[in-house]
Amino acid sequence: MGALSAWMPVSFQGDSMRPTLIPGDRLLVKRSQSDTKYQRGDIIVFRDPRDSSGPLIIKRIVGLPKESIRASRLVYVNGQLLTEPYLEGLVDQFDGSARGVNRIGNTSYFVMGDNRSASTDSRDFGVIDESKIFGRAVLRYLPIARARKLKRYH
Amino acid sequence: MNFNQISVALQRIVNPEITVQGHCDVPCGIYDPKDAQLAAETVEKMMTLMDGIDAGSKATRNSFIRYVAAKELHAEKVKHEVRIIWGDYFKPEHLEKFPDLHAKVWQIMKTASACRQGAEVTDAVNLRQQVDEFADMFWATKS
Repeated sequence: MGALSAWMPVSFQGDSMRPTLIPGDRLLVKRSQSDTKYQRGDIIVFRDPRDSSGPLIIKRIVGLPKESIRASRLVYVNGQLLTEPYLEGLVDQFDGSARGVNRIGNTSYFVMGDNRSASTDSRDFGVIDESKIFGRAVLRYLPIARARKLKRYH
Repeated sequence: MNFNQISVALQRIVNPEITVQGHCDVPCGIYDPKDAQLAAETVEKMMTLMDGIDAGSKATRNSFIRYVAAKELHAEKVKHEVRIIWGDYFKPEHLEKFPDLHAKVWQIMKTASACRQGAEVTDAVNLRQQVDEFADMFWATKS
């Protein structure tokens, strides 16, 4: 079972990852290994940092260790506006108010939901240390019609 | 693996025991068309006041200018509030229920602009009615 336990099927709930994920989607999560490296754009699963017995949460990495992040609905990394193809142009450019200005630590990640106006994420609860990351959502296997590998962007 | 083990494994894949949350602390109730409706009513009220004023004196001219300023502000607010609900709240399944949603929003944008550009009370009345219809669509998706 060793190889199998590296993979975890999960059911997705909530609206904060629209349009990428829709409630009811079934995802396959690849568990973190000691040598796992995460990239910007990866969709990761972690425990709610405010509640160690709370739910598992899923968000997308937008900021990497040591980067400077300024995030409202849009994201600025080291002062540059981040290009985010997965948002499919749905973010309203009207709201430019930044919050959650951060210099990310050496082993932490800044995560956000794709549905920027309906997501509680690093803008609220801060960065996620890599030790708290459960794994990365690799593919959606149900519903069949939308079954596909979840794209990596960098 | 025997049949039972395979069956359990399949069950686990189709209905995983673990749920991951696309988490949002803020309830969906943060979306509410009442701000847009209130702004549209304000536009109508200001237009009506503009119609009824004789801007001959310094004091009445001052009032007239204030009505115009409030009309401008609230017509733009209507556009902003409607855009937020349209862009952030409505989902594809809502569009199936209200295929004319996009046309309605487009109409509101145009009418609100007409309210800014002109001084016809009928434009303001149309704007209020259109925003009310938009609000009806919103609440219908909640029921």
